[in-house]
Amino acid sequence: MLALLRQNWLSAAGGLVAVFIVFVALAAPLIAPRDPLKADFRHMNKAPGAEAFFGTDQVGRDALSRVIYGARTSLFVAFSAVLLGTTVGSLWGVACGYLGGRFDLMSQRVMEIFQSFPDLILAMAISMAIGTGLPAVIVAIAITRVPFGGRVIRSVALSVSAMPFVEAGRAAGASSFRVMSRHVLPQCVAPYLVLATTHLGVAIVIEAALGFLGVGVPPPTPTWGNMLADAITGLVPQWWLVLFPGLAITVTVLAFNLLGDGIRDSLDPKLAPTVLRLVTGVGRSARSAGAPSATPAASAQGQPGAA
Amino acid sequence: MADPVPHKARKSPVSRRSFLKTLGVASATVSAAPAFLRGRAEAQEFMVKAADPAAKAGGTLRFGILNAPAHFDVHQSGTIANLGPQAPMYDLLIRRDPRDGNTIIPDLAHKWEIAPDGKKYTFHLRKGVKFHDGAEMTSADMKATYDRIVRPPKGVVIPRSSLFTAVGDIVTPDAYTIEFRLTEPRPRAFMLGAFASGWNIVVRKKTLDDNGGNLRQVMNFPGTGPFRHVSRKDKEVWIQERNPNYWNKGLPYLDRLEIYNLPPFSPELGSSFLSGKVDYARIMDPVSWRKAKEMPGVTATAMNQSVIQAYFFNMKRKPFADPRVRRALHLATDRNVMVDVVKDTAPMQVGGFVYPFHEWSTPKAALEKRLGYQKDPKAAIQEAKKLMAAAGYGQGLKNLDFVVRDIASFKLWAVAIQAMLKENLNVETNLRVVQTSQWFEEAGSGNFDLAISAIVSSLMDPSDYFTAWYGKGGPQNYSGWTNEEFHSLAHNLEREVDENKRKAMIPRAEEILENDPPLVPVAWEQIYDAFYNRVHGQNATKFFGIYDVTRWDTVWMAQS
Amino acid sequence: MQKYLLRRALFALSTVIGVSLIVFVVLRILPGDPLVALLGVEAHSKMTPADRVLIMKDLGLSDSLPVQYVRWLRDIASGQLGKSFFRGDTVRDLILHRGPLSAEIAILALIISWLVGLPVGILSAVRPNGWADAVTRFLSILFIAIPGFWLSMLLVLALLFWFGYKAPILVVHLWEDPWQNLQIVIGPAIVLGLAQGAYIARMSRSCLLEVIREDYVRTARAKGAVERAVVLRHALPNALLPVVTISGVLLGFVLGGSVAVEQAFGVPGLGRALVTAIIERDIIVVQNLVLLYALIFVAVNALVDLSYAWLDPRIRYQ
Repeated sequence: MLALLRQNWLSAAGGLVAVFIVFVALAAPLIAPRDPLKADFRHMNKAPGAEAFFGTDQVGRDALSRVIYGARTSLFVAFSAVLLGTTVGSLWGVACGYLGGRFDLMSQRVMEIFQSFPDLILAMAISMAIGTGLPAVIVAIAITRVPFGGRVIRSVALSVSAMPFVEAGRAAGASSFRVMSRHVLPQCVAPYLVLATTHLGVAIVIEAALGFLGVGVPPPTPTWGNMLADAITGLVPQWWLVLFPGLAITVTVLAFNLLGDGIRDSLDPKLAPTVLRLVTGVGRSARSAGAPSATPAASAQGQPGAA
Repeated sequence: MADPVPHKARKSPVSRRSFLKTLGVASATVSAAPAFLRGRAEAQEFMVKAADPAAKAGGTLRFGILNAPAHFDVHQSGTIANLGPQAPMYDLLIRRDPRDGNTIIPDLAHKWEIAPDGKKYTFHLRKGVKFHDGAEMTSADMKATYDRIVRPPKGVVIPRSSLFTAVGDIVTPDAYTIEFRLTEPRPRAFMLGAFASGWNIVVRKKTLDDNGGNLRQVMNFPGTGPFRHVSRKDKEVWIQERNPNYWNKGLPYLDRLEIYNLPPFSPELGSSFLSGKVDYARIMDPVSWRKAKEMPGVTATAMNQSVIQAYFFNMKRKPFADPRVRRALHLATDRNVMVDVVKDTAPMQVGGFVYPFHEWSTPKAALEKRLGYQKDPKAAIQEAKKLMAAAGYGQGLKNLDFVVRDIASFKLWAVAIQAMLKENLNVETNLRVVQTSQWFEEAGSGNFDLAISAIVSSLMDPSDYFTAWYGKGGPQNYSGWTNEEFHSLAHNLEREVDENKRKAMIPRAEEILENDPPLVPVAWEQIYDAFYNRVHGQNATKFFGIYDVTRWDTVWMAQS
Repeated sequence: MQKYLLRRALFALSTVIGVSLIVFVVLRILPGDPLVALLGVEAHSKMTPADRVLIMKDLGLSDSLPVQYVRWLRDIASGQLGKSFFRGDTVRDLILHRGPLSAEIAILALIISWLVGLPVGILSAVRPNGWADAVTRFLSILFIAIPGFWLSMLLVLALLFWFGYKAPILVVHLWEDPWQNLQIVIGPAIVLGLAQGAYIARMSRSCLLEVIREDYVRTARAKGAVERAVVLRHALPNALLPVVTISGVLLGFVLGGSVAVEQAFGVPGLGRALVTAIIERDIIVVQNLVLLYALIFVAVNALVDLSYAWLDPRIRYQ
């Protein structure tokens, strides 16, 4: 941590903010000044003031408390979706990279198919197809994350598989599974972490965009996305209802992205520079072997256009 | 006030005189007026004109209203998305006077007679009326139009068919006469209101024949109306021009109509009006409307709309079979707060189970004293708690599935209702927001405990919506509510021709509904209009709803 | 090379077919009744089961899935792409009318991303870890973090508030009235362009840093060339290639990302048409538009791969 701090104070700051936000989410009941669901019909649409720092919404709920509790839902959705999507994708990628052959070829096609959808539309369709609710949103976002994990980690696994120590293991007669779990998998942990942190931000943004398009987490549960969606009900939405949830999203995504950068930078650059570049999408000669595909750089990006 | 004038005219000579005055015709031509006024045969047919004799011809009106239509078949539609842009191209059999929105006046029929037993309606059509394609309009076209409306072919759904259930044979003794024979009597005001409904546009028989009776995908089928189609850009604008061969010489005044598709209550509509991109905006959001009201040179008006916003119960599920539980929820819903919650989203007013602005309903002042409508909800909540306890639900209810349409006002209300029910009755609900296309699936298949939506009627006459909303198996009776006393009362109301007797039935109907609620009224919709003062001849304050008067034939623009 | 091209084309084709199958099936299991939007809520509630059967047949929804799929393929082959459930308009007309706006937004966003991203990237790379680098890196990472649709909401709000912004009410094409057209597309283009620009900046910075470390740049520097000249003349051209390719890929993302941004700005483009169609369950429109987006994405990817293959013979023979 100290080394990281010296190396990159920006990332350290990001990490601190991220920790703070996670803390806020976990301790929401202790921090929030009011019940986020409690309507107060005598104090509707109040601008920020001494009584409500972030103002109140159209049914008199305290916006600050909702932003705080929103951190809970938004982070829960994002963490679960990434954990599910990126992990499944990564394991799949490891298998592809190590096993290769027909399995790899087919998997690559499937992942490419899923990547060819505009991801917001894909998430929208999936969440509508499985029904509204928190689990539907999580699964929908997770599915859009799978191919990213898959393709990036596959490249990592490919290059790791070609390394001498893996070759040695294979030559020594170890089983596929054993080589994969003992030698290939550990090498993928670092890239996985970087990937997961970056995609955490993307997942938060997709959740918000789904809420904005009306297929997110159902009310009254506050999430930053559906708070934004609920804000636009008239000609001029109340500025505080637009500003604060959006700021919360931005700060959180920023923090996690900075943290991701930091993790990448602090990893041993001698380990596999190409691999690191692959994951973070920074580098020029990065090029995966095997089936033709988009530049891994692009696939690894935290999808800029998500929303 | 918004009651159709005809029956009023028969009741009192005063109203009758004012009716004639509204028509703006001298007593010599009174005979042109409908037969129920007992006039002689006419020398000259009645022609509507702008109220202001100084009305000038020329100019373009830019009108902003609603989304693009989903199809073009006006008869099959139930949304202003069709009538808004299409009504100016068509005429009706008879119509409501565009100058007051209520009086029923001649249109393509210049006069009519109603048999004393109320079972035969004879309409005499104007001669020489031409469709936009040049063909003459005859009783054959009128018959084809009404055959279709009264008994739609398979696969064609016409929401107004239910108004004409009493119509048996439709016959055409000659090319300019059409007779409707009723199988049983109906109140005259009801029948004339049904005929004058803005939805019943007259189309060519040939058009229907050529298209297999379905016009959903026929964009520009010929009408006889004051404006003709010029061009249309989907989801953007429909442009029409003056019909130079219009049968009502001198009308319309406008050279051109540009009807923009701007969603209701949307910032697009509001800002388009405020920035002068449209001359007339309808269904404005309250914030823009309030701004418009303060603009110099702008008039902002409000009118009543035929829509109730309500939440329904699933009567098949146990707690809601008990009328006490339903009344408790009804009482625990603070309607004054409901109107307030959406005050920046959509214009609403407090009301009960019948049109709050109908002259037969409980007047506003009396309603405000009634439990459940008072400004202070304490007494109502007290009573609601008692009812719940008596029904055995003193501890409240848990895990109710509350299905909500994904529209801003419904979401806001659902959250407010959820909070009220929790706080007042310890009734806990889980909101499930679904898109409109799914809401009707869920409501239709009974997959809900509570469900919030809006329902609309075609006529202000109770006989229309008592059947549709509260009737046994009524199409909008999503609760699946039945009450034998109410059904038999509604049955009698529909067949009683004496208006006074009909009126006397309403208080009892209200009482039944209050004590055995088929739904919980949340609010009644209003429509906000705004227009620049250069637009003349349209004053929508007294209109009932937005469906009957949208032809723009008597509207004119002051040249600037 | 020919063999590679063939293989690449086959892969692209299989992806497109896969996308079409998935979108086709997902749309048909989606809950929600397209007839609600078609008939309107009132008529829908008064529809009899017999009416429903007839109308579904009319729309071609009562046929078996394979029959419907083959019909879609035929519609694609005919170039009409099938008819919307509503008004009977063809999807082709919809794309021709609204597509240009979305395309303009994408292209403008691309231009903005280069105009902003490249100079910023160079600035960062010239003095890595200096304060300018820190600021620009922070800004670029910030713009990656800001949700586009939220930025759009803020912009619209601000414009409304201070300038009486009026949302566009008509599609105005570039060739009809360039000035009006620009007013429609500029907002979304800036929002999307800034996000892309942030990526370009990051990419060009790291590429430049990498190139600068390479031998020939060191040689140039050793020969006494001015630092600026070294960067611009020697390093930049070499660093540009990956930047070009990444922005090719970003183009695909812009198309997807424009969905929410168009919605927020109220721009009547394809993205907005797609969202509306999904909500109304106008599945013929949705399946064609999603396929179009996928086609663009696949085509751009293929071009990127081909350019790599063209530059790097090793790939061709794998």
